[in-house]
Amino acid sequence: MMMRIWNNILFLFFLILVTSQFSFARILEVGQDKQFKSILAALDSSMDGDTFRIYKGVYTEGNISIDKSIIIIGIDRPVLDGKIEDEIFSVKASNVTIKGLEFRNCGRQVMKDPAAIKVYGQSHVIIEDNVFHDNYFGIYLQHSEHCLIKNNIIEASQKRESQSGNGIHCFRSDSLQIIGNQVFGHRDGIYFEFVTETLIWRNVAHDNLRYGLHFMFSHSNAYIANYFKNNGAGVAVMYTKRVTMIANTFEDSWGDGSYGVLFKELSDCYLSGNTFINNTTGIFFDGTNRITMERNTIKGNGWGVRLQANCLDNKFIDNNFMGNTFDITTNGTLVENFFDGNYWDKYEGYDLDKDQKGDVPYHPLSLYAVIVEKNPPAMLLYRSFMITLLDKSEKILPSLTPENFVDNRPRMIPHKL
Amino acid sequence: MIKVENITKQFGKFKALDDVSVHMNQGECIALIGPNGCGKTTLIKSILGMVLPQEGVILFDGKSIKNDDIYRNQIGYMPQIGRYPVNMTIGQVITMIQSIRNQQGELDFDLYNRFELDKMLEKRMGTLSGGTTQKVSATLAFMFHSKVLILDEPTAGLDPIASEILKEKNH
Amino acid sequence: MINVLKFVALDILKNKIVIAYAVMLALFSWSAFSLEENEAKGLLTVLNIVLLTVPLVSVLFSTIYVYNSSEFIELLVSHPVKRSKIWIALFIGLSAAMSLAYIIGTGIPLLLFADFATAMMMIVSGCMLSMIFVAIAFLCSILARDKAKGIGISIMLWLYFALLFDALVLFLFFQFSEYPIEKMVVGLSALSPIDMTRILILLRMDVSAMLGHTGAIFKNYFGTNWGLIFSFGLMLVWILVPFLISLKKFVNRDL
Repeated sequence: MMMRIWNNILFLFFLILVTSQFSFARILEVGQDKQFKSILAALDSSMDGDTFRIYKGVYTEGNISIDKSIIIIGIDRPVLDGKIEDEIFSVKASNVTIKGLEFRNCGRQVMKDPAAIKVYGQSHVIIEDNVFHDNYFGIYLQHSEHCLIKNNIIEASQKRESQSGNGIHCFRSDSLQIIGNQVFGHRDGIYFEFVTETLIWRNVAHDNLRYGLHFMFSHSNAYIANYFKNNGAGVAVMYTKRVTMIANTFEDSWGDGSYGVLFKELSDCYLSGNTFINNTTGIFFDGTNRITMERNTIKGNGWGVRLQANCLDNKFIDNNFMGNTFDITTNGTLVENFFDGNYWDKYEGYDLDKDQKGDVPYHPLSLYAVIVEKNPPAMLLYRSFMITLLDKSEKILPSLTPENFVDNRPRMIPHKL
Repeated sequence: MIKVENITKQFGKFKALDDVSVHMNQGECIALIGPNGCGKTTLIKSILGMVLPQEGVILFDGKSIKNDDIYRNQIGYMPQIGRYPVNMTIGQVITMIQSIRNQQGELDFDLYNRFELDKMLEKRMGTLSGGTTQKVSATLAFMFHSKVLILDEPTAGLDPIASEILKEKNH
Repeated sequence: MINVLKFVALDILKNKIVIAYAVMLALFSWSAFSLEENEAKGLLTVLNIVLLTVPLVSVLFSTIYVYNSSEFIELLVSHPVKRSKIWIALFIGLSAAMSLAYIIGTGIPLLLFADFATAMMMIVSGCMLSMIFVAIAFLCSILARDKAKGIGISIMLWLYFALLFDALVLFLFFQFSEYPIEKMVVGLSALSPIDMTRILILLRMDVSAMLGHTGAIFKNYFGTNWGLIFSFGLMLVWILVPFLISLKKFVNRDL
């Protein structure tokens, strides 16, 4: 009996607590025939915890500085137009949610880096289900934490890199979640500098002018199931430790100086289940250490993997190399990297004990690859009959390619990935 | 009609013709006689323009034959050893020469009929015996009523009957 | 000349080797396009075939054919036909036959599988390549009276253009790797019709990105419209020079 009374009291107390919260948080409606005609007017009379319902229409209110913890919800996707003059939303409070809006034409002053939404050193900001059209920067986070950027479509149509900012730009931030966004036509699709402990999941970046994904000094991030296609220079990531990349696709980066992925000065990273397909260079390793690459597909690239001589202790295990012009090249001779159990479609060995591993070690480095690495103009002889002969004779009697560049257990059939 | 003046022809070190001059007139019948390798065929080939002498000129009707081919319309030539494209038939060879000569007026089918070439028009030149080849050569030489006939060892390889026919034709 | 050409053409058309050549090209091209997983790879395979077999067959067949035509030539020169006409008729006949075999064998699958501009480019340059090596064959057969010797020379020349020239270029790359030799190399590759054809076609394909800096220079020189006209002009020179030399020699030759 006592127990029950206590329970009821507790429940009542809880009820009072909850309803009091509601009584403080109001809903402010913004629209032509609503309580507030403009967002700025609504902001003036709002308090932390209020919810804005912004109705359909075009709002050109210049810069809107959000300095209260409010929830902004667009009804029927209202449009906020910056008229190529201002930053549209400057978020200067934590716990802000921005949802269901369309942002257009933010300013383009290069020195100020204006963005459609810029978050200034806040936390728990949620930016969800918005559309960004022809902005300089799309979403710009600096010194922020625990923010969520989800399911936004961020698009721009500038032709020149200098006229375009990045789609999602994060600087000195931590513990972000970037999920399910689509970015195209910007300078870089997703750009990180000093961003840590962040999850990047299911994003698509295609047809950006420079890189689909570009980060540096951004440690301990995980990139999962993202899709990068046809970006000007592919993907380039630098000066970072502990990167995890799983099930991403890097596709169609064709062009001189264009890479599926460029790894520069990366260490202690793990790559698995990724697909590198139809790039001039699938993966370029420059000064990378202790990277484990397993069960990835490297297919149809000009160069599958380019491993510079300054790379150490990298492991290539159980990957599929298929249809690349050169599976792998290096500019060095002393190779401290490890290959095991990969499938190479150019392997011509046999498997007598039927363990699916070839009985003859495979040297994936072709003579022509070595020649081109030392002497790039020799690429002009590509597909010449003489080169074919040279490669064949080198395969039979290796003399110039490094002996320790070897996969001792090449797989006979492709891994099912 | 044909004037050969001071021609010299040298094959390597071997001098086949050394300052040879001959004048031949219309209606004349001239026989070149000499041992093997004395230059009879070389002289004939020079007149036909097949061999180009190093020195001297050959005039046909008063015009130099150098860089000219029209004058050959007036020559019927029967080589010593006729060499013909092996894959062509007798009929094709005769048709081809007719179309190249493109001569107006009646053609002389006398030898053609007497050698009975019409019975072997489908035979390929490569399969013919030396004698039959010579029959084709003779037929072609006489076919166009040429003003000049050059016959190089005409009866060599012909059977007695055929050579009689040819001798008769020459008269 | 039309008269002579008619008989030459008839004779070549009867030749089973030209038909076999066309069939072989067709077999290779069709299988390349249907076996390779995408059109670009098929194109590369076809390119390899074209660069290897077209010159070889053109030069070898033409050399042998010209030697075998000696009776035909001898028969005609005693009749009122200009020597140059006989030689030109032979050349046109052989060039047309080799080009036709190429167009039927490789051109048709190219037009069906590859994009039109690339296909046309490959057809035109393949025909030019055929003619270049027919011209080279004429030169070979006029240089040596002996058939075996002439065929030997023609094979050597093919080997030189298909193989040795590239080896020479590679050697130069290594000898002068310290110097900016890209432009020189681009100029050098214009000296080999096979190389020029190969690079011109590669530049039209995706792999051009792999050709890097040197490829870019080549593209700047030869890839533009004027460059294309220039490079086809250069190939025309490759046809005309050997042929005209052989023609001059043929006209002044004892038969």
